[in-house]
Amino acid sequence: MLRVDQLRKSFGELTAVDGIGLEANPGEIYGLLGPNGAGKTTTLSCICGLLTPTSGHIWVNGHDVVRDGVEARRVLGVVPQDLALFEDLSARENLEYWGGAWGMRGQALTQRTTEVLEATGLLDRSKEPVKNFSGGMKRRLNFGCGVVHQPKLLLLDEPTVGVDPQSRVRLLELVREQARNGACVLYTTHYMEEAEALCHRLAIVDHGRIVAQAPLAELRAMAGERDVLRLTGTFSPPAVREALSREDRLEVIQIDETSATLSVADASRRLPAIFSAIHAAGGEIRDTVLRQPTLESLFLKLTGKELRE
Amino acid sequence: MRFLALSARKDLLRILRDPIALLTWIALPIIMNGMMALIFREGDPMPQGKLLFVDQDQTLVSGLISSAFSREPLSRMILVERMDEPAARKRIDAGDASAMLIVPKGFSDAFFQRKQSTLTLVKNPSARIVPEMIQQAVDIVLEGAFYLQRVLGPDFDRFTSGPPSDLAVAAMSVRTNQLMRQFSYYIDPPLIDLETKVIQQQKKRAPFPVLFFPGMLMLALFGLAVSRSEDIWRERAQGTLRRALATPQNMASYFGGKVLALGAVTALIGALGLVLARYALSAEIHNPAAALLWAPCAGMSFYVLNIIIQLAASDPRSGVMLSMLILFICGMIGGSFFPFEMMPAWLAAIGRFAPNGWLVLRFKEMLQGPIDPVQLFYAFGTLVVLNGIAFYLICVRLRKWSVA
Ligand SMILES: Nc1ncnc2c1ncn2[C@@H]1O[C@H](COP(=O)(O)OP(=O)(O)OP(=O)(O)O)[C@@H](O)[C@H]1O
Ligand SMILES: [Mg+2]
Repeated sequence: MLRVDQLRKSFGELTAVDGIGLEANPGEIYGLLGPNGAGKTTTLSCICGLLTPTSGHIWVNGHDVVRDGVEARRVLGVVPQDLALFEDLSARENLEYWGGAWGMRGQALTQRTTEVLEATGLLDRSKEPVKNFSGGMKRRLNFGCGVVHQPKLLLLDEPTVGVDPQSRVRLLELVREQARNGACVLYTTHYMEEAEALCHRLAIVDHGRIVAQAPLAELRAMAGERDVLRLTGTFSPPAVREALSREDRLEVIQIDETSATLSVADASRRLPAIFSAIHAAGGEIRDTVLRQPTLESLFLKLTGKELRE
Repeated sequence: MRFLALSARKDLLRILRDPIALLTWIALPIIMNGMMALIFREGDPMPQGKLLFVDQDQTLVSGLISSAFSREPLSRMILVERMDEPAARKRIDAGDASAMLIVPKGFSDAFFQRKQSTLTLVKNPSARIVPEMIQQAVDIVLEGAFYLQRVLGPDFDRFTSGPPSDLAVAAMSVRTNQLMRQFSYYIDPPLIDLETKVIQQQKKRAPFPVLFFPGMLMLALFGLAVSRSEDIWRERAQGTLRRALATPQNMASYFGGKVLALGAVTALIGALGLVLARYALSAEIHNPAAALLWAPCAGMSFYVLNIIIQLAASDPRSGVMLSMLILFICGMIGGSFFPFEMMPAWLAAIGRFAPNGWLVLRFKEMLQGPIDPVQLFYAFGTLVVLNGIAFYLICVRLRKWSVA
């Protein structure tokens, strides 16, 4: 359904996307995970034809998005990271307009619009101009506008940011439903739990490159070997690095004067040994957080960054 | 095609949801021109004045100057009275005339010999428009004379140094004929011609509101177009332009919808205006069909023009400022704030090339007639061609602009 091959996009000096390749199939929810500025939005913009790739190819439903963009976009639905709504029109008018843009009409459009309004919890406010909506309501409508025409390929760019937990559950259910109906979903998020709960496959992106790409279970296994140990206090980075380098199955992910993040196998048993090694290197530990292996710890390990600060 | 209609409907809804902007731009020109009408009202719809003409030269040249005032349309606004200087001075000092013009003795000789000579124009300070018009007329005649003097100077010399030979006369007439043809554009005072064309058909004097109506309507359409063109920034900020780019539809339909929506609104405003002009102001409407069609065409042209301005600007603020600036300049010179009939002739000459000036003049022809099918074809054709090019360029630019 979607094939991205060696995609590169540069803005002048800056290469926002640097050789991304991925493939997603109908019925699949494919997660794109990455810190701020990783190039997720840029990738999505290239797929939906807003940006022209510097190099590489993208096929949507077998159509090259650059050469055959109109055909490619016929099956596309987009929920952009920034809102894209007519503030002076009502929720229903927004949905009907965008539905119409994908060729829906008449009874089918009205019915589907009502369905989406219900799913996004906006049915009772559907006649009000969107400018009266709260931020979360706008987000929900923004989501609705992307799915109203039941696209075969749905691009979701952090669609649940700023949405309250109940609404989020409903939105995610809507995404699953799209996938169950055979849509291919490309899902960008900062919420690890969301990705874990939703996605069948994941790609972790950093600096415009994919650093890991696998089915969810495989990624979990990759993460499973080691725990993440996060320490705060005062450290002398070179000395601590030196001291820890003698430890087996331990990796320093990040260290500065006030914090250190380590990836350690079997951490809970080895904590005393690690602490004394750091003390011996002149470090002082004030706070310790030990995390069980999750996708988040894998992410941290791969990118050296917290997903959410 | 369906998406074009959908987009037009969507934008029409959006325009109607902002009735304040709509009403502002309908009300503003009416109020403004109502005030102008109050300021300039002299009881009579056409400014009327008296010019005291003191001809101390009594030659062909001085006769030419006075005859300038006996031509349309000046003759209908200005009454020329010939008299001697003391009598004229007494009258103008008593405020019993708009202006006094003295052609001194020897003016004609000085003219032919290309020597300095001075006409004296005394204007009555208490009247405003008529003395201005007289001054303009004199300026034009003198300017024409200046070119004549420049071009035919050497031949004039031959006249002043004794009777010319037959051969010289023949040569000169050939030369004059050629030059006249070449320079006729500059030598004919073009401005009198311009205004003659517009007013001549007005058999009875138009009352003030009728005089103001075409410019006023165009100003309303221009203003509305400015306020709607601002919306393109909102669409960019709201992200709807970008969403439109991600649909399988093209930018031409999306933007075309906007143009059509404004066309519909301006068609309505134009129709209301014309009905009002016809029945409330008893204005003549020579070609109602053309006039009805002209209003939305003008509205859409103003919109396209202002979108170009917005796309050229760096941010919404400067875009709107630029649009407003152009609106005001064009309003001033393009016969919207003041009808062309009341403007200084040189300004009117520039103003008819301003976008709204051109639109106002064609509109006037449709209202006051006569305008033949060929002229109509050219008028509408010009709009279609210019807007077609602009439309294409805008659609190309909008794609990049939306994601910038
Ligand atoms: N139009 C643009 N012009 C110049 N640079 C851009 C443009 N769009 C994005 N970038 C740069 O490209 C890089 C990737 O940006 P992008 O928006 O794709 O990141 P992202 O992964 O979506 O981040 P976030 O999680 O914050 O949304 C950033 O460094 C950004 O500054
Ligand atoms: Mg992003």
